[in-house]
Amino acid sequence: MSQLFMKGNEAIAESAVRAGCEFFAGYPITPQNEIPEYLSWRLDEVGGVFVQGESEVAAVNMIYGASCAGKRVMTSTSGPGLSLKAEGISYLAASRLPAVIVDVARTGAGLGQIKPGQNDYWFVKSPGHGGFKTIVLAPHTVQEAVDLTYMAFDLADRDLAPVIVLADGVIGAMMEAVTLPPFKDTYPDKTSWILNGAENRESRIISSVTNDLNKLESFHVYQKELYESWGRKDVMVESFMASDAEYIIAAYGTSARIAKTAIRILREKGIKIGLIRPITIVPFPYEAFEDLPYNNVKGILVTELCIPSQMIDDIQLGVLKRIPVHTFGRGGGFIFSPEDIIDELNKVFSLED
Amino acid sequence: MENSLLIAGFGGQGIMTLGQIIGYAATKSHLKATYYPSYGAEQRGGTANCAVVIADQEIGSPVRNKLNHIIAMNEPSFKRFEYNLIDQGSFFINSSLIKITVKKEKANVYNIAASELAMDIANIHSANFVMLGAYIAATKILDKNIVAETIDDYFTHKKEIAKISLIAFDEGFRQISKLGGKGCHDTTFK
Repeated sequence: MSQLFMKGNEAIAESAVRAGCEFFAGYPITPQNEIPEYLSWRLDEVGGVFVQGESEVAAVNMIYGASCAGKRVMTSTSGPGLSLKAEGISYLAASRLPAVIVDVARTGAGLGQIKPGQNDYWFVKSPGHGGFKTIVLAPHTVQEAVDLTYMAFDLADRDLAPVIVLADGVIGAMMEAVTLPPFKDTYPDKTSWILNGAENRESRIISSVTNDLNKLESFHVYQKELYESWGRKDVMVESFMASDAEYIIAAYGTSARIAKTAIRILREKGIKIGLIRPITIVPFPYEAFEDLPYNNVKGILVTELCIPSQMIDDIQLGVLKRIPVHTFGRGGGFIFSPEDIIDELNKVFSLED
Repeated sequence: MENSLLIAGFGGQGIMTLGQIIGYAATKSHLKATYYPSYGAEQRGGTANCAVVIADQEIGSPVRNKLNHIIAMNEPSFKRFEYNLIDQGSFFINSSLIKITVKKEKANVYNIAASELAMDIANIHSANFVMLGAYIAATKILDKNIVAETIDDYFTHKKEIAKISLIAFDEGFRQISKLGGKGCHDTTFK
């Protein structure tokens, strides 16, 4: 397979096309602009439809509509835009509609800044009102961004639910070699539920409002069972040099790849350190932390491109205070270096003494 | 092997183009590569820089503090990154625009009058390719012919720019070859 040197955002867009995405609606926001830019011409080439909505609210409701019609749909945005799309994502979840939402995260609440950040971790686990969850896939390379975007469409169709791809400004803006997946040619049959005209069949309603309260509660029970099933079958996690590690870095996305460089440097000095990297944020790989060899592991450092740490909540649920868990991050759109991580490890664990 | 390079200069000097071409050429050479542009609410005429890592194994961080090589196209970027160079690392300095001397010790310094050379032989806008030629000649990090092919491919719809860029690239290469590939603190070309 030939390798292409591609920008993260464009690779995500091309992967969506190959996964059979036929409809994209979005609204510009840095650092994800290359996704709609690319799809504006690319979807036209493959017979799909691209719409730049008049706002994020319009765009998310457009994908709601196209998903009702049975199309594979996607929108992409960054933090402030995701806030605006939250209502629509909640409606997608309540109406049981598949959709892929890409969040190329940036730094800060409010408008924050356009620089990269991992500030949307808390938000994407339940990106809207009403108590629903989304599967969240968090790539740490451009290749993984391609693979997870491709997979997201299948997960969305399997569960009839929105799925989030959580990248960040570094993954979106950087270029790296990728092998693109083949064009999908078979898709799940959606004829039993889509709105395609009620000729010769009973009419259907797709709606997020349920007046029958018993039916509504059954749906809530169904949601619970669905989320529990994710925990049993959809967890993805990478363990990097962690099998004999005395110190563990916990990180996802860009901060995990920076940590890998720090770990390689420390391993050369004989320090037993490794990485546990959640690939799925939801469902979170709690077991990877529950099952650590606690007689051997002395401590954990959670590294994230945000302050305060957000992932520490999930790490603590796995670790349950059996060993010290420290956090290290940069806010303000700054990116820490491998050396910054090493300095922090030395500070909290006196590693190189 | 893992090599970190930072290319820095003014917006408009072809900094990003250079970084991308090195990334494309590395991929063509079956090496791993990452390219990360600094982006932000940048001002026109402000600084532009990009980080390129080339390796023969999985690349972790695409952004580094400790740099093996720096290509500096103007003074502000040189001042900003001078002390990020590792000992025995190499500076490629556009001496047409950078008139200050390197204070960092234990550094290989290649002073290339890239802007002037580019003006003489091709076009001022191809100064970046003079630097690329010098960089490839001195570091041998990529095969010259593969880089030349990549430049040609990159400007596949702009044949005139491809031609000028390749002339500039060859000139940069020649500047280093003249010295037998060696650089030193007080070496200036031209």
